[in-house]
Order: sequence, then structure tokens, then C-alpha cells
Amino acid sequence: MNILAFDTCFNACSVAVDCNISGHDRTIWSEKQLMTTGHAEALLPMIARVMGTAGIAYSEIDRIAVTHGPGTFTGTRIGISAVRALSLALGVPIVSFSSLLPVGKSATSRIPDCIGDRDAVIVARDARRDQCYVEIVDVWGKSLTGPLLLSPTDAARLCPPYRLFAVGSAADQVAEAGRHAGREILAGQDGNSGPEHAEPDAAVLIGWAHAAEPLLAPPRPLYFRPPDAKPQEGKTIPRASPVAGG
Amino acid sequence: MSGGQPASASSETLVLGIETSCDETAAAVVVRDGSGRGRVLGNVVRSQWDQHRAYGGVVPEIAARAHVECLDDLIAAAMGEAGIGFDRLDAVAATAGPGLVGGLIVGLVTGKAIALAHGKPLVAVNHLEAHALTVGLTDGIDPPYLLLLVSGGHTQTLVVHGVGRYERLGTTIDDALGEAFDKTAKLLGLGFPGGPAVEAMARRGRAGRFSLPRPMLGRAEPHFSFAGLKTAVRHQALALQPLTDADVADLCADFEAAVASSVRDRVARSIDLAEPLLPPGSARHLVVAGGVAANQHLRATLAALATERGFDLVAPPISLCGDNAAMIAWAGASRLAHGLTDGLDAPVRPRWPLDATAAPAIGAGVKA
Repeated sequence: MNILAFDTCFNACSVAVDCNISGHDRTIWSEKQLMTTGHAEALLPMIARVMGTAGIAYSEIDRIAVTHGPGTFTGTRIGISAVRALSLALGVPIVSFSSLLPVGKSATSRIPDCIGDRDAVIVARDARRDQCYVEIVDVWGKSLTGPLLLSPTDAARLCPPYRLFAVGSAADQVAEAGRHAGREILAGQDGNSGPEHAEPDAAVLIGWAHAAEPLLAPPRPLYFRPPDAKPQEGKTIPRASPVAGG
Repeated sequence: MSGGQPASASSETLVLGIETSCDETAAAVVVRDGSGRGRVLGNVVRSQWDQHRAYGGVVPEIAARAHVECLDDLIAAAMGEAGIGFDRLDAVAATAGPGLVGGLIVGLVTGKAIALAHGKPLVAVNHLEAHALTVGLTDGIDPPYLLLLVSGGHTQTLVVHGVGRYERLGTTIDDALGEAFDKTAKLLGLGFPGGPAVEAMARRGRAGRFSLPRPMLGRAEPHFSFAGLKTAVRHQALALQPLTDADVADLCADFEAAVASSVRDRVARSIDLAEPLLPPGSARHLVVAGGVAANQHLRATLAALATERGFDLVAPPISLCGDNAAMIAWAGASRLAHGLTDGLDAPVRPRWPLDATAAPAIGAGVKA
């Protein structure tokens, strides 16, 4: 099965193609660039480059994988817009995943002590307003919580039986909140990880994409927060009687 | 302009258009023949008005969210109406600006993805150019002509010399005309969008009861201004409150009359300036486009002016005056015919004037 995967949820643009055309060796081709803006310009050319390297035609893609959030509103929409358009244009199914899951999966393999069946990584990414996006991922890369939007304090209470290794931009806050709650959460254990490790990697989605059930309806962005808008009142001049028609 | 059989002749080009720059999500398929005439094969528009109404205007993040929820379905519907598959397209055209950045990104990324998947050229379309060229599709009118573009975001007069060649004459120094209608409607409790609501009320009212200003009347430069008019409506309404239905209807009628006479004067001035820019002896067309071009009172006023000045007024059918994707597809087909296509790294351009060389109007903000 040939799979195209990509992520634009946070501060990177990442594309991977798993091609297995001959039925022999499975090869994953990928590219990832860190960026805080410009995903809408970068994504499609990057897909074109990785597809070109992989050497398969678009008609040979069997399935497309994407991260559906959490993330920046715009970044998440870029991935969802692209995947829905490609799915429509190519007539292939979509599988979609939390953007925190591949970060957690990658981290489990980088943390030497995170090896036991009661060890897990807590991905904690700052979401401002004293909250963070949180997901707990076990050593097999399975999500224990799904993605959540929580205060560091609430995040520190998750999955009590597990020994947690915190990664991500809010790792220290969650570890600190754990200390206040009398729970040891280990931050800073993924040693020499660079900024690219904090961002989802599309190549990590490939394994799950093979196994997942394709979505029956197109994926929607997982925003967690409503649009920042308030109904306007008080700008209308009072009326003597209700409008008829109008 | 009607549905029909898909094109097959090789000189014909089939273009998918995508529009997401404001509060309408739209997709359309247009065919352009070798002689530059066009037909709409599929055309669907979904308005988001219901989602913005409570806020009294378009909320950018709500708009962006709504576009991504339904754009793929609308594209499928437009392609279905046209009765063609993606492989039959000659290009994919998507609005790249001007407009709300979140929505533009959804539409442009979607267009890029379809273009990439089927190896088709992408055309990143200027929404204003699409309005400007619509009469080529609907009425077979080719440039050069004088254009009045009146919408929720823009109020301009331009000489359209050809595809990609525009000379701006007048622009608004404050509110766009559609914005003035929306704000007046909000003030009078008529809901959103304001244009149709104010027009409907004006038809039940009688102009002449209120003395409203005619902004910019007689000024040498051809610019527009509507903020003062809106404020004058507000003062009149405050003096009368609570407003009766008759008050509101009469205020709407006077507002519309003031708008019409101000626009008439400004367009007349633009005609003066456009005359020497148009080829001597060529047909004189005054084209009106944009959502406010649906206003019947304004159309009648412009028709009378055009006749006086030896111009023909050309206005697209009302269904293609507001935002739609048929005009995007048509602009895409027109640019493709000129060899103008864009890369998959094409940026969205929330600000994108048609005539980047035009001197800013004094007092004008970013809308100019």
C-alpha cells in the first residue's frame, strides 16, 4: 500500500511517502522543514518533491494520512484542506491522527529510561492562556488519553499508575505542577533533542496509517477552542415596533 | 451562459474555479472557447450568512472554519453539474486575494492540491480581476471598458485595458459601499447582509423626508466616501428613536437616494477621466460589478448616466454580481489563455490592488 502523509499543525511542514510498489522493500521518503509561517506556500511543493523522489504517480497513492490537530488554527486547516482536496481529486481514503501522537511516539524512543509497560511520555505543548495541549503516549506509541487541552495542574493528574516523562514546550510547567501535587513527572529526559523533535513528523504516521480504518467522513480540524468573537449588541437604534418583512 | 454539454473541442479550455475570500464558499466549472467566449457548466455557492449574523458582520475565524467544512463537497457538486472528471480540466483557478487570509488559504491550498494531483496548471486569481472580467463571460464584452466595482470590501472605478492591465481612477477614502449598506442595516436593526435588507425597506419608503449629505459631490478627483453618510443616517435615526417601520423605510429610501446620487456624480467624473484613456471611436461600455451591483436603484441611476454619456451600461446577472466561483474560473481561463499561471508556492495576498501603481487617495486607508 502506498501512503502519502503530511503535517502542518505547528511549527513545521512535514511530508512522507511510503511506497511499496514492487511489493518488496518498503521505503519511506520524507522531508521536514521548521517554519512558523508559510505552510500554505511550502506544503504542496514539498509533496511534489517527496513524490518525485519516491518515483510514484499520484494515481498510485492508496491512502493519505494527516494530522488533524491540535495545532494553530491556520496550520491545522492547511493540512485538512490539502488532504480533503487530494482525497476528492484522487478518490482515495483518508486516515487522520492527533498531532501530538507522533511527537510522543518519537520521544519514547529517545528517552532511555522510558521502556517499561508503566512508562509513558506526556506531550505537553504550550497553548497559552495557562493551558497546554496534552497527550500521553505509551512506549508502544499508543495514546492513553487522546489529545486534550488542560491546565498544567490538570495535566499532572492524568494516568496515575504511569511514570511520566514530559516533553514539549510546556513540559517544565507540567513537571512543576506534578511536584505541587506530590507526583514525580520527569522533564528534560529526552537529552539532545532539537527543535525538530518538538514538531510532528509525517514519517511517524505511516505505520499507523497502514493499520487504521479509513475515515467514512472527511476529517475536521480539532480546534479545541471556539472562534474568538462576541455577538455585537447595542449598535442598533431602538425600534417602536417589530419589523414586518425587512 | 447556461448548463450544457461538456466541451470537447481542443481549442476549448475547461477551468475549475474556487472562491473563499470572504463569506461565500463557491466552486464552479467554466469553459472558454477558442474565440474567447465562455459558458458556465457548473456553479455552486454556499453562503455563510447564518453563521455570521449574530455578530453583525463577517468574523474571519468563523469564515475560515466554515470554508474548510464544505469546500470539497461544493467542488464535487460543481464538477458533477459540469459532468466532467478532474482529468478533463485544463487548469485550476483559486482566489489568492484580496480578502480574509484564513479563508484564502483554505481555497488556495485546495486548488493547489487538485492541480498537483492531476498535473494541471494553477492560476492564483485576484478576486477583483475576476469581478472586472465577469462581463466577458456573461455578456461577451471584452476590454477596454470603464468598470465600477462596488462590493462589501471595495468601491473603485477602473479602466480595464485588458487581462492583467488595470488603471484605477477612483476609490473610497473610507468605507466601501457594501460596508455602508451593512452598517446602515445594523444601525436600523435590519440584519445582515445589509444590502438586500436596506433595498427591500427602501422600496417601502419615500425619499425626501430626510436631508442626507451627498458625499464628494462635485469634487474634481473621482473618489468616493460613505462614512459621513452613514453617520448622518445615525444622527437622523437617533433623533427619531424609537423608530417606526415607516421611519426606517424612509431612512433607507433617503440613504439609497444619497448613495445613488453620490455614485452617479463620482462615476460621471470617472467617465470624464476615462474618455481620453479609451481608444477613440471604440464602443463605450460602463461595466458595474460586485455585490452592490445587484442594487436596482443604483443600476437604474447608472443606466441613465450611461445613456446620457454615450455609454452602454453592462451589468452581470445578479447571481454573478456577488461573490461566486464562475468568475474565478473565468478569470483563470482568461489568464491561462495569456499564458499566465502560478507555481504551487503561490502566496495568498490579503491586500492585492488591481493597479499597484495608482496613487493613494488622500485620506484613504488600506481599502484603497
